[in-house]
Amino acid sequence: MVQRPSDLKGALQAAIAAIDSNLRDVKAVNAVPRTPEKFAKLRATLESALHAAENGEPINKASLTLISKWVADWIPNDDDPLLDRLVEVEQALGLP
Amino acid sequence: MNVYGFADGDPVNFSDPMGLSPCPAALKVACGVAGRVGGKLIARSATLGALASAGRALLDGNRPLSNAVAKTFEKGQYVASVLNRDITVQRVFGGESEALGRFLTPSAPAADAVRGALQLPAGNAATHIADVVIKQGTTIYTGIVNGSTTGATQIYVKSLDALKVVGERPIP
Repeated sequence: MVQRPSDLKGALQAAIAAIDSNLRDVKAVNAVPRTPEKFAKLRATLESALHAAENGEPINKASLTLISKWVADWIPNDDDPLLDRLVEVEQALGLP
Repeated sequence: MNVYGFADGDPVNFSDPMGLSPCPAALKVACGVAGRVGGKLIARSATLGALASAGRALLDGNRPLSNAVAKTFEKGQYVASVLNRDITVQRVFGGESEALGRFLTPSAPAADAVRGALQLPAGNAATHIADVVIKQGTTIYTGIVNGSTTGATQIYVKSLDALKVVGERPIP
């Protein structure tokens, strides 16, 4: 589904919630080395974008380009709903 | 005239529902759309020659790739195959991407073209190349990298447990 720009904040919030859902499954998150750090980095990137969106500031699109591909590379569950949420963020920003 | 030519003479195990190329019957779900590029991809890479007789095992319950992964392939097209032996492929990594990961390539592009060729995400610093063995029996998903500047091929593997890093070196 293609999201309108106005859906960006909702997409970011949903993605952050999906990360938090993952982080609650400590066993899965720790199954692959450095996964907790990657989730933390991802969450910080999305929070930064959400802060910018809420304050009408420019969003660092470079940090979000292909972010779903980066996460699909290492996330413990290869079809985690978080991936769909990240695709929605990319679509809301008009990223490829 | 071979009336089963559409299936390489083997209509029991192969089908071609879209008139593109024969697909193993067990792989129809994933292979149907992607079959169009299958022959070209396999011909482009000697490494993937192992796939020539692969594909008769069941494919992960015929579960296709997620949208997030499918869109990393050009036009969302990919070929699903089951390896009939171990193969060694390569992976470009660095920074926040490690030697072990799901996106691989038959052979790494030249250093000066690697980012555009493989459409690497910002988290991948592309400082190293790893040699990675994909275990026999693994389902792999192969296709052209979406947005690639060189038409490079990528391989996606769902299970990280199917991979073993056997070497790594800096990109010169």
